[in-house]
Amino acid sequence: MKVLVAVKRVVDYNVKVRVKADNCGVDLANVKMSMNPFCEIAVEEAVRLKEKGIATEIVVICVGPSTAQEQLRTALALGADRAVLVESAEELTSLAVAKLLKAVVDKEQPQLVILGKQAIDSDNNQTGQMLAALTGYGQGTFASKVEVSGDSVAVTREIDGGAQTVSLKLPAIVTTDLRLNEPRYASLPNIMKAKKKPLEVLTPDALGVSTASTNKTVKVQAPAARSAGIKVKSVAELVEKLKNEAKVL
Amino acid sequence: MTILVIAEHDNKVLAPATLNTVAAAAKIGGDIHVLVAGQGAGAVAEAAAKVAGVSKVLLADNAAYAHQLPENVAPLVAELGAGYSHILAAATSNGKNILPRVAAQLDVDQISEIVSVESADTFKRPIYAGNAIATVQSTAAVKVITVRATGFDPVAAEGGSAAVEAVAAVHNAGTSSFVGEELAKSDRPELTAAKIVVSGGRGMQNGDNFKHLYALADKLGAAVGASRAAVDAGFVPNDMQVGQTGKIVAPQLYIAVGISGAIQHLAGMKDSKVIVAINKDEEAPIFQVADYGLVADLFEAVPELSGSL
Amino acid sequence: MDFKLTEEQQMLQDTATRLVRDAYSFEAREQYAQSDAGFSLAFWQQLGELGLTAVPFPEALGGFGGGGVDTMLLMTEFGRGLCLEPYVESVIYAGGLLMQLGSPAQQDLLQQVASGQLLLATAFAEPQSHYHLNDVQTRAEQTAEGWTLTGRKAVVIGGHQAGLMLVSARVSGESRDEQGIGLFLIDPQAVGVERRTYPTVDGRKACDLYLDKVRVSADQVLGEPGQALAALRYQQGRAIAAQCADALGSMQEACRLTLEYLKTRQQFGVAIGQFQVLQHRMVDMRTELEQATSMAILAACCCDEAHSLERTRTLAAAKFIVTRAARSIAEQAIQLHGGIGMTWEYSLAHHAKRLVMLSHQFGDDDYHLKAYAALLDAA
Repeated sequence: MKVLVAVKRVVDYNVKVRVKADNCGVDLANVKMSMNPFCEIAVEEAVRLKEKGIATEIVVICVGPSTAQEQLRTALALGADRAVLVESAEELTSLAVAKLLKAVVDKEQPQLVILGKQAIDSDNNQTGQMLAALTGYGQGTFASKVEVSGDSVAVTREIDGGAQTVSLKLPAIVTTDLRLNEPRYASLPNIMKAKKKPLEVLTPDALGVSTASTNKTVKVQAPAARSAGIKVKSVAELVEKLKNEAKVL
Repeated sequence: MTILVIAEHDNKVLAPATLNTVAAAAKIGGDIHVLVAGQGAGAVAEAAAKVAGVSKVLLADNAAYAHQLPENVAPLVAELGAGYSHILAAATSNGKNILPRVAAQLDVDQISEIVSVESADTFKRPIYAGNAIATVQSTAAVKVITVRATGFDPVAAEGGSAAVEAVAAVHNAGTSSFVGEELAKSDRPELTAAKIVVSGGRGMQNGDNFKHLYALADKLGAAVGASRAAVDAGFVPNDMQVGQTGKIVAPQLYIAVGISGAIQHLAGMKDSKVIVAINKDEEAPIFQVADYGLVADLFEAVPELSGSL
Repeated sequence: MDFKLTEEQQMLQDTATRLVRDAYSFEAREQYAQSDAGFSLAFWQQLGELGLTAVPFPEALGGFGGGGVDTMLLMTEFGRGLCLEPYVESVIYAGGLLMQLGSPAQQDLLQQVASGQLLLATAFAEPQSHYHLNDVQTRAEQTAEGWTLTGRKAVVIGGHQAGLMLVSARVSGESRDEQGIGLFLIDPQAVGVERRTYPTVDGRKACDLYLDKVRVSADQVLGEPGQALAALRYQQGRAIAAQCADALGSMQEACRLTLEYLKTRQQFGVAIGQFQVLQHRMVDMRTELEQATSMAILAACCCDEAHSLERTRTLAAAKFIVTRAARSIAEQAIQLHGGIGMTWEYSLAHHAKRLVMLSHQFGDDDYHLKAYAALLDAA
């Protein structure tokens, strides 16, 4: 079966981002960019499905700027067979990305689409669910285990306070959580092979998708700095503060 | 303006996160309706009807909604919600699972995990793992929003007297089915993933005394960590070490017990949301970074703290 | 000039960065250092599986035909993580000599070197040789069936773990003669070979090698007997380029740790980075780092060129600048940290020790400054 994996180019998780002085966003100039960690897990899961003989072809897709070809090449080096870049210089909302992915899903007709549960830049946690809505497929979000059998997939999901298993009819959408697998490293032989794998570039226009948004980011600020602490006199006062002031209990 | 709040529940009990979500709705202003979708969830609907500020409760009671499968619940919410100005759900695993599906069906962008309401169409939400706060404005006809519970004080669970109205609509997509559920093990959470971390330092005096911290941690559902000094002294194994050369943690609440606060330890926990320090040395550097400091003998304070939770 | 990495180089760097980050936490490194091997055999195996030990070898020999820049990317990450594996010694230096001088049968060994299965060590220094590759007193006497080697070799990094060792020995002439130096591939298990292992100042392990009439067959001779010096110098040039990148990673990390410390450490109610005199020192460190970076890149770009005076001079210059920067950054970083900078449980101290060690391997700054000056006249 064909598996489609969507990946996003984001600031590397080791980079500590800084908010720009004019509050229009975070400073991404000369900052290391990488594949979103949850997307790496998605690629890894697809590759494992292929190694088990379940997946026959892995198509990796990214909606992003032309530089996102780097992340697609990385996915190819990790084991994807071919790549599609839907090139868009502007930052798109999850809904717009989901619509573009839907257009590619219509073209490619995969049995399984695997996405990261959220991107570590926008922290939205929306795209997979939205793609599921647009395609009408079942969704297994925050997956910690994925088992394909016949024409269905059993997805164990990380939910508040435990795990839940659902069975989805294929085709289906899966979004990955951290514990699903541990992504491999791209080996040098596979890096060299990735160069020769096909990478197709499309545009939202060519896919006939409007990327208009109903959301606008007005400003971006640094979080409030840690205010000077206080000394409490007793355990009772501490508990009271933690409950009512800090609200962490 | 009328706001639809999706109730978080397990068919028996209305989850507290719903009260925070209603609080966010109240900040936006307008009538607040609550949708309870479930199976045999009448008690939940009754509880929702009593929540302060709620004017109507919609109860969609059907087997299709028993396990909150988004394939079934989302079309229901989209159908009912189309006439509302806002649809809100708690940013729980259910809320996060269902609501984006609703937004896409309504063809609007969603705003995830808001921590404050600026106006009826403008909200604040953390991005980049909380390293920045974005202010987002929505022009959508129906604003679809998930709410981070810690950003809003819950409204009172009692005091309202809304009418409960049954919803007949049944959506059963047939694309998914519930297989099973496993409740969390009673084991303590993993250190770096825990929402609360209790750490002990050299002040614990020996490994046996860490039992006080385990008792506290079990009350809080917390993980237990240690400073390098405690690890080097052999009190606990080194996989518990928090610090620059150990694990880096950033929980909601970090309780440092008997830890002086060497800079290397601070590097491993300084991004915690709230830091509590318990130490009998009031000059200990840990107090410089602690939000709440308690100068006390930990062997008295920690058991007392466990007892009062 | 375009310093942008190719997509492949970018991915190679990403792999190395992640691998080192995951495998080389400070505690893990301590454990590797204290193990018998003195480094991580598992990490070495992983380098082999991922093809990273094959980077500089031609494709015909099981490699990937990588150049100095590719090696530089790897070495910088190894330096950042204070990796203990003898990559420079086994893959770059010894591997390079086998490539350059080896017979077809000897080059067959490169498959195993490229896959990481065979570790090579380089035994070229002697107690009296003081960086001079031509200062060789170990003697090779010709016999009916080959040669016998007698003498002493010093500071053989990774020698205790090596499957085979490359040893320089004099087949004719006197100590410091340029002619008459042979290279021999010896089995450390052979009769007459004794290894005394000790830790080096930077936490690695090395051994001194005592050779007492060690018999080697004719097919263990590398290249023309007595003509090895030119190849030794050429390949040491490649090793120097790799080592400059190693030092670069370590210096980058030392600067990062120091800057972080200046921003964090409070004194007199402010972060000490607020004090101008400390800012100046930090700027000095970064200036040294920038110069070292440029020279390390230059070395990486020229180290695989054919032998020329220009190449030799450039590599001497790079080694001089990087060594100067390494020592300066190590010292300043400790100064700016104060006591914590000397603490063994903090990685900075280990970067400082590593940088000092690197400053002395393959020639110190004085040695290379002299070499550079001598070549100025020649040019």
